[in-house]
Amino acid sequence: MNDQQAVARLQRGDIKGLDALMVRYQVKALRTAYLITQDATLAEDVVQDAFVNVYRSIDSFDDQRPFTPWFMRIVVNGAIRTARKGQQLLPLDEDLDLDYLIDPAPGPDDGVESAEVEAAIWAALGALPAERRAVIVLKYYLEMNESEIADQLKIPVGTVKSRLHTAKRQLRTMLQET
Amino acid sequence: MNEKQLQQFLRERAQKEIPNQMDIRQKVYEQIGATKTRKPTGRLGLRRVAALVVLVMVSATAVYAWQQSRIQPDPGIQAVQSQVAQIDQTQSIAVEEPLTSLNVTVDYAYADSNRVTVAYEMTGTAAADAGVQFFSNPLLTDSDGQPYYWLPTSGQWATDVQGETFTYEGIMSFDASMLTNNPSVLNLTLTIQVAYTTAEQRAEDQYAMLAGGDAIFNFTVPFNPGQTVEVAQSASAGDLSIEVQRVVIAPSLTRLDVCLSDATPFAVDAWPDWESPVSVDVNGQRVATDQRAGFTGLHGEPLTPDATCRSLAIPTSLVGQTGSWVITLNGFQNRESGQRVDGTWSFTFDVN
Repeated sequence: MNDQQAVARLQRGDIKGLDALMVRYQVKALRTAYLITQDATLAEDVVQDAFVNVYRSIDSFDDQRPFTPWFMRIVVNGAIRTARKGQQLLPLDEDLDLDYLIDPAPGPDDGVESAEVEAAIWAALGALPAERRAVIVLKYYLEMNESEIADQLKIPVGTVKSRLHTAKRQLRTMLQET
Repeated sequence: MNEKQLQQFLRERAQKEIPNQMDIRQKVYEQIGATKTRKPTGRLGLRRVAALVVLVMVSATAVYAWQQSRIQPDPGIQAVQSQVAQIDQTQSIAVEEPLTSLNVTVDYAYADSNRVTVAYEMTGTAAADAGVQFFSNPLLTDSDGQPYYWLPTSGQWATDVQGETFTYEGIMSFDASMLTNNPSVLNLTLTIQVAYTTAEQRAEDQYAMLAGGDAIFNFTVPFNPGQTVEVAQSASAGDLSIEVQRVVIAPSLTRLDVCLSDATPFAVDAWPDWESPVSVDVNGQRVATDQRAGFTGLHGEPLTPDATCRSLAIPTSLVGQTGSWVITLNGFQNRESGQRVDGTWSFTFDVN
């Protein structure tokens, strides 16, 4: 059953259409929501709500259009809204204890250092406003181009470029500062 | 950190936290099942109610003696006639034109290790010239909030309209195979979502439906445990090997937990609609012939198209049949697409 058939089936009233869509998209949606919210439990809530949303609003969906962008927009927007609620933004010059990133060359404690680097990247991503983090996730995790991101988030391409540029600069600063 | 490293980091982090096998479908179904926000009138997104799992339509003119109903239940339910619990609860739903009255009644219910079955009826009146057609969507949960999913090939309904008066009868069976602790009773909540169409509205949009409202019933049903026989036996035909792990023999239905060597032949567009005509011989005597057995998920979970392990539900009673059993699956046919998986798979084991 492809997406169009699953959607048609759900529109006809067959819950198995929803099941097919969940089987196909739940992991991708959960991972995307997780990277934006940085919380697996919140990501589950976001994706559950997204599928319930699909179930409730499938009648308004034009089955001639692709399902993926419509659904992923629900997920991404839900994740941004959720992330915004709990976010305490850190200013760029906040002390993030990133001293160890100055010299990233592998050394005897490479394993430990690698974990620390990952923790630092995660923290730096977490310090971004949710909208900018979402753009990073769409670009580098979902591998969308700027035009696709603009379409996904319903914002101008210029805004995407600006958010990406600012987010990357902010990340770079946080990971290299001090 | 360059862009490639960032990409790799995000991928690894996401995979680590959200494993491939993560499955939230049950929670989504619970959320949907818990939704009781449908308005009594107005066009709603109720096309899905049309599913109704109405897999067997009974002629409105046919009259059967069983339970004074127009519907004759499947052989498994007929076999447990003396064990069904009469519920006889009725609720009235407030309606607007063209409906003038609507009552929903749960007639009886039955539960065992393999299924819960409910029979219900909707009666009422509507403007005779409105051409009203009724639909129902039964949802079942227990007191723990555990949802029960529809069993394949289990839905039956019949409607009858005489002037302004209409009657709708339905029987639905739900998978109970997640119940392994043999409770003495089940405390259940049955929600019957009622929807309808009118001739005028069907002319505009053949799929849209109008919500008639929900009727919610709480009742208790005695639980009838089944017998589990571990089989762990494989049979092959063509490229497909099937292992029967166990057989659960409950009073109203016999369930085979099976694992397929390859689910690909079954992962077609109409993947929920496969059936196998199953025969059962006990001590050399044929006790069941061409029983339409359908796939369902293991342990009460919804079936997925590519699941190699799944259950096969045979809607017949085989309790008390002891001795040497031979269960034969005579190929598979998809009742929606007509596709076939040919072959014969036989399994021989003892039931004491």
